[in-house]
Amino acid sequence: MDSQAKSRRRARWTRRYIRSTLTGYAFLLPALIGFLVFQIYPLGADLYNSLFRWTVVSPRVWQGLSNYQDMFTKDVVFRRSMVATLSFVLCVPVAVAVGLLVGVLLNNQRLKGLRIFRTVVFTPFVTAPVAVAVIFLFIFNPTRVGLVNVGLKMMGLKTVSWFRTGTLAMFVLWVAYIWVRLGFNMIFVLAGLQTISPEYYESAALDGASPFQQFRHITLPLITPTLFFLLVMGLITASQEFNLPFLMTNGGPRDSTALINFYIYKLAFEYNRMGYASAVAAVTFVILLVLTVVQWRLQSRWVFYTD
Amino acid sequence: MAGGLTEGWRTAFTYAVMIVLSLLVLFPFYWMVMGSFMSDSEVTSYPIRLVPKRFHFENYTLYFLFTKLGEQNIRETLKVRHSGLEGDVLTWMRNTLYITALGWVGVVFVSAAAGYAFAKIDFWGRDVVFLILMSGMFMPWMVLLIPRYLFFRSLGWVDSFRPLYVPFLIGGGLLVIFLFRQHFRTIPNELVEAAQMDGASHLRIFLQLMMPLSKAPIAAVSVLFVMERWNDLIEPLLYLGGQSRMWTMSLALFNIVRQVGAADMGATPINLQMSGAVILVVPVLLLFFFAQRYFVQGLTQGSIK
Repeated sequence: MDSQAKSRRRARWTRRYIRSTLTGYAFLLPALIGFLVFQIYPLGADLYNSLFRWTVVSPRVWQGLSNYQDMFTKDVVFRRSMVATLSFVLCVPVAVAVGLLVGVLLNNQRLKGLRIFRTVVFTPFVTAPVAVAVIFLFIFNPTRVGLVNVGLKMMGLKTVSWFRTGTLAMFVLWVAYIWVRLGFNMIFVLAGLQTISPEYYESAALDGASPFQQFRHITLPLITPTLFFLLVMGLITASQEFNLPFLMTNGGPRDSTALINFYIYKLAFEYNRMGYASAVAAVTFVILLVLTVVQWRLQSRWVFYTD
Repeated sequence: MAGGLTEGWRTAFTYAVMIVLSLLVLFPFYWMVMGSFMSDSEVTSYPIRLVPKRFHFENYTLYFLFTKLGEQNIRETLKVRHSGLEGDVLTWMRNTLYITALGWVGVVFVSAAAGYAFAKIDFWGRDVVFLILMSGMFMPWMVLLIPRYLFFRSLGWVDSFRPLYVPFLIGGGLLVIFLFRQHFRTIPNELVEAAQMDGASHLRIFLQLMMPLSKAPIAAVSVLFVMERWNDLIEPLLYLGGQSRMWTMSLALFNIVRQVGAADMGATPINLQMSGAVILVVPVLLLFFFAQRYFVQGLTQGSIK
């Protein structure tokens, strides 16, 4: 067995194999160089910088791990930012649930307008964030000028100062974000629903199952891979959201909408605290990694694969 | 088993949901378009005006430097807040297309080459390297953004277009590499082997056989890439922020309605914000409508299973 393996290994390194290896890496070369320069090196540089206090104009000052220490003990804004990010990310399950609901309601291939509808609902997704911010700031303008407020006044209600409290500001972010991402979720749900064989539903209906029962026992289990994908992707993307707080609330009343990437941006590019910003970024990376791994592991608990 | 009556109700209900949802989704767009044609007082009027009394096209011509319709252009209109504003919409569009085109070359060719290697060339360490490359996709972008900025700054590349396209020219795109690999794997190996027996090198196979067969993924990737570059705000902000002549479309609109925080809304008139937003959004929407048939298919094809 061993000599067979050895001869297999020896036989692999033929002239041809060596040549194809060289060719392979030749094809790969630009991508690899780019990867090293623009992904690996920055990662290392970030970790390195996080050990210093550094505004670019003055030399680095060694801090050791005290950046990390201060982050968890002294930095109030960091804590607020974590809370803000968490409250924001909670909109992801909501958005996925809405996408699921809508997808289930509309899961009928013979529907004529479905294609157009899909395009329409997906449109916010390709809209530039700057435009999204402009529109929603107008809609939710806290003075009497905003669309919603004008509508409220027309109904005889009081206007709402949308950005005065953290809850309201976060609500606005939720609305804007869900508006943007709903189409994305819905399309994947629809695609996933179409992989469920209609025979399941037919035989269940023959057995007298109500639509709710069909949903609970057929649709729901079989759609869990799609849901898992949407939740994980959604979590990763939402936790890194920067545009909405930057464009709409500037961190919100007292950091209540200061999502973590927004906070890092401010640290690095407004306060020039490059070292500390790098540390916060590194911590975010680790947290994200851990959460993703945890979700991945938990898959077996609730995701139901048919293959 | 379901009576005709139930089926009818079900369909009607479904259509109702579709229509209501469509209206909700389109509502902000409706306001963006309508508001862009209103005068400032109309947009903010009480009670709500749904349609402008007359269409104020000057809200649009304002953004184009060369129009002489007796109207002032955006530079004059915003003089108080943006003195030194150079360039106009056409300049900014041109800038955006410039960086997109240069980045596109890399994104397509570098990624396709890598994807081809992973799919069709047998070489030592292939799978390991592929995994490492793919893991890079999951890195949070903020972790990379700061060191990249510092790196480009040390090269003196701030206030230039280079940081916006060079990483793509050299590195391609990780997701794109993945997509191309998937695509090339669907092409039967027999084709490659036959070409090799005819004496063709991998390079020739790649250029003359594989690429012509890749029109679909190239188109899909191109559309996605153009959209991403057009809509991106933070990279242009970091590297082009000071130079209004060099702004990209998103950055330009951002600066024109700058500091759009709730307190500052009155700064640039809302109807002008809207027309600027429409100018920003419409090209991408057109591209999207045109390509969406392939776009949606491509997105959902390999992801669920």
